[in-house]
Amino acid sequence: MLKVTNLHAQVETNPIIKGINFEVRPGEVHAIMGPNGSGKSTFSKLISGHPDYELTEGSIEFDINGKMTNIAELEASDRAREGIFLGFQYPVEIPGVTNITFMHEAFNALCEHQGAEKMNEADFRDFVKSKLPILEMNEAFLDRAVNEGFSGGEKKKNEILQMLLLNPRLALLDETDSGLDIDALKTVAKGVNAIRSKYNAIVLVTHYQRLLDYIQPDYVHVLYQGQIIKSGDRTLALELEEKGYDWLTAGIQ
Amino acid sequence: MSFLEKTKSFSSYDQAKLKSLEMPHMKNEQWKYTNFERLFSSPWIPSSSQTPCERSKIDDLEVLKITGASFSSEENLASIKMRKSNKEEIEMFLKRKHFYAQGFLSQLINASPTLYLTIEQISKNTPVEIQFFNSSEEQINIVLLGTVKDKQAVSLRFTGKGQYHVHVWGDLKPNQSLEHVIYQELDQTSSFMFESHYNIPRDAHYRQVLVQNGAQFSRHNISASLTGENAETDLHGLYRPTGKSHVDNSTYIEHSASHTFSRQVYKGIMGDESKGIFAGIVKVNKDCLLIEAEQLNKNLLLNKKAQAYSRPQMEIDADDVKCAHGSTIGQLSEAELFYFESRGISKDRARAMLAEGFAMDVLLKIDNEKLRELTIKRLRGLC
Repeated sequence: MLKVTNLHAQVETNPIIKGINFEVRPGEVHAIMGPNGSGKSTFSKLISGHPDYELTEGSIEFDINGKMTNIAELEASDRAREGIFLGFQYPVEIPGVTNITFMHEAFNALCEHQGAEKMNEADFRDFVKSKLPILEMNEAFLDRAVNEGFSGGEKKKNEILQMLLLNPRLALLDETDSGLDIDALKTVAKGVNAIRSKYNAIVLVTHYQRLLDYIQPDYVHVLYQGQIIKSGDRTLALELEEKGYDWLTAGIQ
Repeated sequence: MSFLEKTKSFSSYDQAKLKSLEMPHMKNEQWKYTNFERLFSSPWIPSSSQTPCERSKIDDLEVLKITGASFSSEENLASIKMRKSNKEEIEMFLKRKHFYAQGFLSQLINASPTLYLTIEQISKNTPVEIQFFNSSEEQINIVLLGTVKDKQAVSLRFTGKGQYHVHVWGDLKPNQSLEHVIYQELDQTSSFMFESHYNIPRDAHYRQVLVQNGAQFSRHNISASLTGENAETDLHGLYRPTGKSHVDNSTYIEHSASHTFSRQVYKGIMGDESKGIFAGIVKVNKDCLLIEAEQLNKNLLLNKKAQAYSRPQMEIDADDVKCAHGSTIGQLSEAELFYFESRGISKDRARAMLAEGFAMDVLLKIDNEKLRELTIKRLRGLC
């Protein structure tokens, strides 16, 4: 459903992604690992359409209505409505807009795009409430401003809650495990596992293999200096945990 | 029509009197950004027009609609009685000192056709709305005087078009509490000059939330004097000019007794090529102790050609006070916009929601629940 071919991208004039080939099929879970500054976050933002990153070469194709379509020119909001979700490493705070209003707006934008009837406020609240127990969140979160004053763990849970509501075909989760204690990590993993199906795919961007104990990936890729330097199955993550990245990156400069 | 031409219909006495007084001018610090004459360029509304007041309801809120400057004799609605002001009340008003234009405005009002109305609270507080409507471009002078029994909330809404020149003045008595929600949505040909002043004695509270949505050119002079212990005032404003509109807010709060409190939050959202101005002064007089004053002005520029001017000021002649003021001017954050977009919300919708979020805390300052909900709905375009 996602096919990235020879992808090159830059921020201002700094090349960050230098020729990535990457393919995801429905039902798969991929983990992208790599040391700091390797381009992991950039890669996920690029796929979701962040305006700061300029694609200089290559293509990003995504399955739209059964057809692989180049989405490089699509706005971020269009990509989201087609089913790409980005879970942020640092979700922003939006003062003055309540969480439920924000989610309702996003949900109805999706309904509209799919030609489905919009959901009214009361029904939507009931729908959201049905998802809260999975993430061990209480209803009070819905009436607070988006992420405002949330702890690190609460922000991450809120990202996963939004993912559950929007049920994306492709979820890109950027360091969803950072800043979480072990209990919160388990809860967040439970939320992510809840959308796993043969129709959805998940790409986890992470530093640590710890998250992969709870969300087991089918493939693990190592990103370094803007390129995928090694791919493997989940045993690769365990190997990285044990040996670090040096044995892979030693020969590359 | 120039201001001078316009005053030719006045008696020679009034003309001479006006000439002897200083007309507000842009070289004057208080009028630095706003050309006074532009607020007075249309002919006066003819006093002959007589359209009866209309009654209606929004949910269970009683609404009285006043067209032009027509008012017969007396109207009773919910907890208030409205009537034409008597001679003593008018004389008292005209003797007032205007902080922003000394005697000039009083003299101008005195000389020109003006509708003087007195609002009296007669029973337990039930909020009401008085809607002012006009369909022509003339100049309308309205002076609203009032008395409160204990606690009252009134919404004043301005719709249609014209050159409105409105004064809302009063003296509260100890323990009284008054709230005004002012909602201006005149069309883009209109101008709006709004001046209010309240004296707030011991244990009294005056609250005003001024929402400015329309009009091409507007100026607000808002002032309050805190004259007794535990006197409080909340003066808040939201202004959202678009097109080439100009909105100038001047506030002046004087703390002349110990243990008095004032709070101000003014927020501007400037679109297109509009200009928004805030100049606020908080003055704490000598020997006034335990004062708390907050003054905040925040501006959001939605367009590269929009402008914001912000001048929060405090003049403090006392020692034991807690005063804070601040000002910000910024644009919508790219990170916030991207967050919305990443959830499938279009950029335009994201901008509108962020601007509404920015505005919301001003509307939440409305104390009366019914008026607060109504105003929020109005701002969202839901009614």
